[in-house]
Amino acid sequence: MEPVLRDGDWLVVAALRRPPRAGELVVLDDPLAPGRLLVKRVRDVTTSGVRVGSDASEHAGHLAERGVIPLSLVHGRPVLRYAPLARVGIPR
Amino acid sequence: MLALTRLLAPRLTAHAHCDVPCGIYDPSTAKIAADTVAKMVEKITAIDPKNNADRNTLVRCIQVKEEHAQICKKELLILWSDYFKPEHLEKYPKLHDTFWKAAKLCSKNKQNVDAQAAADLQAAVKEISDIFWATKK
Repeated sequence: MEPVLRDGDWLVVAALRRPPRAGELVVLDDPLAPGRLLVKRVRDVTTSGVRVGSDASEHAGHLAERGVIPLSLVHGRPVLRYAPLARVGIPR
Repeated sequence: MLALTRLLAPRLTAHAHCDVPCGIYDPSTAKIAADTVAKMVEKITAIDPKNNADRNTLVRCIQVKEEHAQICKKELLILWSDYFKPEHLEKYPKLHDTFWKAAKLCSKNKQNVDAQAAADLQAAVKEISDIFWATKK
């Protein structure tokens, strides 16, 4: 997800109170590995869920990015990156 | 300060990378491929192409040389694009040039039977391997 997110960034994640929109970052359960959280960007929203992708092209092959992910697996949106201090800001 | 850091530390980890293979990088595959190219060049040079018995071996050696030059390029490109990050480039400003020249050497070895080019490829892979392991310290 570079350059927006880097390894070790600390994020505040807001619970999802509305359906995610295309282009937003979301935190979701990895459909292939229950209990593992992913942070990805919403590519498009369908009636049955969302499709997500990576910003970094080298990770574009992630299996979770293929197919529609049900909204029940999408938990929230990163709203603030609060560490490291040099990178504090709103992750978009 | 430590207590504050602990207080603010995230409770959960979210991953942004690919699933299982991510983080498993090793230049040894490129090294073996480069060594294989050099060995094939050595064998090809020693073969008499006029000897019918050796012709089959010659063709096989050429095929293996080309395959391993391609494997070497693929492995180097994976390291270049997936493992190395901007912070590595700050420490090793010639990194892009080193990879670019090494990839070119893979092509040169694929196209030619050239002992010097094979040795240059081995040296280039060693240089990349040394940088890789230095970033792991």
